[in-house]
Amino acid sequence: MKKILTLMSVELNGRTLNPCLEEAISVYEKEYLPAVQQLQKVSGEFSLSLEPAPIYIPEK
Amino acid sequence: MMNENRLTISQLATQLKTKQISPVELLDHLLDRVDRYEGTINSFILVMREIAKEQAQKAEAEITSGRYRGPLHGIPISLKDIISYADVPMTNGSRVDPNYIPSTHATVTEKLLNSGAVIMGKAHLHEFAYKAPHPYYEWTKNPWDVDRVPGGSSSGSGAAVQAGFVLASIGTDTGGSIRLPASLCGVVGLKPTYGRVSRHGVTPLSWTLDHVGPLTMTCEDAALVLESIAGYDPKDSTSYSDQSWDFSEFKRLDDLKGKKIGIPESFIFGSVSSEIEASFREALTTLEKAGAEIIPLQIDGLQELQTAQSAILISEAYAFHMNNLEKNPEGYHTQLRQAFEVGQFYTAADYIQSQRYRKQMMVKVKEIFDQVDVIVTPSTPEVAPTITDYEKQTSFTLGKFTFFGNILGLPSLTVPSGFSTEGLPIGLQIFGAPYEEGKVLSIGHVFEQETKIFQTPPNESRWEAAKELT
Repeated sequence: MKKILTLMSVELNGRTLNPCLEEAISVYEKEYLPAVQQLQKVSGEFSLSLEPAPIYIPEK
Repeated sequence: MMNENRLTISQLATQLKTKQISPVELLDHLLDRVDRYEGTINSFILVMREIAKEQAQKAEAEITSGRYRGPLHGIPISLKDIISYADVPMTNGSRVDPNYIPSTHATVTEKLLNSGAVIMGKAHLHEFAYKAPHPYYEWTKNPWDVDRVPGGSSSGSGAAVQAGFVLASIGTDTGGSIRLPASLCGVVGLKPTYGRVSRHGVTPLSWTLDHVGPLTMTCEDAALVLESIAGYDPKDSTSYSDQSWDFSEFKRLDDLKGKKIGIPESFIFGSVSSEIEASFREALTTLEKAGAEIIPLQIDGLQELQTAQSAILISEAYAFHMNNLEKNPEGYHTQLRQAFEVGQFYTAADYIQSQRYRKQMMVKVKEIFDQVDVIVTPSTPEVAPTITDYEKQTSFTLGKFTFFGNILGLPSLTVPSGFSTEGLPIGLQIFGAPYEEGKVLSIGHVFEQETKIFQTPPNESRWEAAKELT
């Protein structure tokens, strides 16, 4: 996974690799990715009619 | 009056209006306190001494000639240093562009000036309103224990209000950044409904989660400040145009008879420190004694909602900071750089699914507000950690109960509810349905009058002692 994320940063996002960025990759992999995968699982149950709100204003 | 250090806007407004005190006297009194204690508390990036003096003199001349503008006229207030004040440097608490000088006021600044407020300075903050202060500016100290964090990111705002340097401070809140410092410093913090207060002229952290609101000593003062800063602004595309807010929505209720208060029990109990739990249970008893009915709630999906909040916040923050992270990385503190860099790994689908989940949960929570008037939680799961412990933490646990208000856009208030055995403040958080700031503040007011915690000051002799040590 670390290799994929590094490629994503450098090849797709056009970033220059540095120690801070490498640390961020490890943090994302260990701390954020498992939670995102849980959210992805939940989003598999969304109804097709559920729209995102790009500019979000709560209704009265 | 001036010997008291628990000054409130509501009391002072009457005295200013009736000329019992003058805005210049009031400002001088507060500047004396700043001169005495700011070296310890470190709540300002910049004290705008000369500008504030000119504004206080102008307010005095206007009031003397019978042109009283309202309850904020002559009241000293600070602005978190990501809120623009024209021709005054704005650091964002960072070294990325510390010499930046905005050419225009933020809308919230403009509104405060129109109300006659005296802008006393730019408040200290976590760098770009996230994580921790940049080491260059050092930590703001918690007035209750100078070895502990004041909470953030509106750290200087919470500390300055509690220290009696200002009567109110304007903060911003993306995941709890008004309510956390308010709670840990023992003052009131209000994050209004999304769209209620303009963000024009405020540096974004995360556009769809950012809110602007007041930190004050009491709920009534928060209502007074909200009246000044709320309202539609065509310069902010997310500004809400259908309804304005005015002070009459705040009610000085005597009790809470007929009010239904929802408690998401499984979300709270078992995930807070024993002292927070004990204080929260005591707060519920106080609310019940005041006449409220406590209704247990089960809100499923909050863990995933927190993940969605995180995905949205960090993705948007990364998008804003991407160029500087590549071209000027040394301007950021390493810890913040790393936190923002994480944002590039969320996919577009992750971001959009998060926004869809947000909408689904808003519908669900809206139904809950058909059953209850407000939802109540502790403001934080623990009391203020020491600065040393906070700097070692890798995950952000303090915002466990506050994020909910940002992603759902709900008005959310923290009110002091007690003290730990070590004498550290504990807060109670009150969420309302969208645009029901009046109800949230009115219920907070009843609780505040029952407990009177805001009348207890920190021990200032410790600030003197800390100054001598440094």
